[in-house]
Amino acid sequence: MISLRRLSIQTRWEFVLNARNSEQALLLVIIPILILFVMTSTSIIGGESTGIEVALATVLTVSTIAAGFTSLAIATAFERRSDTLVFLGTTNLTRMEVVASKSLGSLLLALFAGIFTFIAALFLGWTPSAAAFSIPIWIALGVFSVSGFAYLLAGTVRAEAVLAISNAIFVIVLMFGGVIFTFGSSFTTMLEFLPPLALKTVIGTSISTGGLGANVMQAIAVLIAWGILGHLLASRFFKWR
Amino acid sequence: MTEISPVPRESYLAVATHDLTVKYPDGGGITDISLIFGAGRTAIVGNNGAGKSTLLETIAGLREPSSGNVELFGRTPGSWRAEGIHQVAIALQDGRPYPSARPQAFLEYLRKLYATDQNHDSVRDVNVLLDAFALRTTTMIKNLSGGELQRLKCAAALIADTPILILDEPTAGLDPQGRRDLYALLASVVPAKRTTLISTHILEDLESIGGRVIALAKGSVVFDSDSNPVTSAFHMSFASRVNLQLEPLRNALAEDVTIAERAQGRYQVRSENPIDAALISTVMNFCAQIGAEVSDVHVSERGGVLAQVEGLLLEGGDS
Repeated sequence: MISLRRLSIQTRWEFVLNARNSEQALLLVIIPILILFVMTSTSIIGGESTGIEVALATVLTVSTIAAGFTSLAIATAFERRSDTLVFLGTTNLTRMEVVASKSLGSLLLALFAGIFTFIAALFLGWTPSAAAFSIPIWIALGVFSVSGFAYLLAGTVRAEAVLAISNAIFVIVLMFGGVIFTFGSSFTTMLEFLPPLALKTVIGTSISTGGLGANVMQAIAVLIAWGILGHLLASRFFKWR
Repeated sequence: MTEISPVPRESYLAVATHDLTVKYPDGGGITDISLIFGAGRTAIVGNNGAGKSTLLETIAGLREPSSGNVELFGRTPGSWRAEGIHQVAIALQDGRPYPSARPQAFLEYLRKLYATDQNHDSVRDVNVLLDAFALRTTTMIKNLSGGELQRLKCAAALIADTPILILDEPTAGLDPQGRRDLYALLASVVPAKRTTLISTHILEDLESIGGRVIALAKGSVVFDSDSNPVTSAFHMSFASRVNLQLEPLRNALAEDVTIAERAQGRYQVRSENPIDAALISTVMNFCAQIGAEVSDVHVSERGGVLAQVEGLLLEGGDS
């Protein structure tokens, strides 16, 4: 059973606490906006500077993974270490509400980061298309596809290790996930079956042309499949203390 | 016929455990505990590792029984929780929830959370609790002192007026004065009729807590003041610099007399009967024969529950 009132109180409380954390600001606002400026203004990537639309899709993908995976994993791991999760078990919140509030909180972080990125993109001369208004839905799907793995990591490994591992995975995703750098066609075909590039495909399409072509449908299926897998694994292996 | 118990039947069955067993992979836990808690205060006393936290956390629904069950008003903790009905509030011994939050914001968040619950007639006023528990501080929870943290956990458990209240070692880490102060505070804010379970490993706390006393040793109930006859006991304690072999001395003493090493070099003789000259000379002669120098001899009578529990816990820790 989920009480929407309890869920909203819990989500707000944790969101405000997490948003005050300065590392979060770095991870979710400053790094994505820096990537946006670097990609559009320099020619270090791919010989010439990238168009604003591709840069925007890249940055939104990065901040969604930062919120839905890295920052969620770290926050949950430290809550587990301080026995905050056990404490929540003593309140009137159900387990479903505890988990749902965390996922919602990281979705809110991703959406806030998205708003900052949009504002920066507008300054850089981007004009939004009608299809761009579907982006919040894709950000939510992106958070769902990776948040199960955030719980899996946070619920099985001690907090300091989660800090290191989740940041390492984040950097690997940036470098080799097909998000910032592009690779040859055979490697890219493989990457299309992983959440980062699938998310970039979905977001990129809605920024430029919109529409649900075969490649977008495949990417949506990939995101849903990883999301289900991650949450199933987490519910099987998560340890509350 | 007149009603024997002044407590209404439904509140008498606030908590019932039936052959409750909780096992851990590395040993410990509790074995076959059957208890009923009605209205009023109960102190659960036992040495570290006796199973107090396991028992209390299982009653609160935080641990699953290996066998047996727990009923709160006739239903399992899990079935109440599934419906979002909050029957039991527990202050845990370990942990520092939401380390980056501040006490006032933390309590206000909990008040809002509990106020959503139809089950609660009332929710405590945060300001009253902040004043009563001296928590008007802007320090983050991670920087609170041990005493402040214990008071915050108690206040957090008190915000929801749940029918059942459990405080697991609320005075852990406090000095004797701090312990007395916290128990006095709890007595003033928690109604005496509310079903309240408080655990401690410190015998002296029993007097401050008051009410029923249950002693645990090695995962089992070894004493319950509701069902065990309460007797007085007589003590003689002394110090010896030589380590005493207690087994031969035990053989020389009467059946109802026990002897145990309470602390390094500090021994205690306990008897159901007054300590007489014959008993004292038996002990002294024994020490003299092995050349042990005895000092600091005290003889005292300890009345009631405290002495009884003390004897049981000493036996439990000795074997």
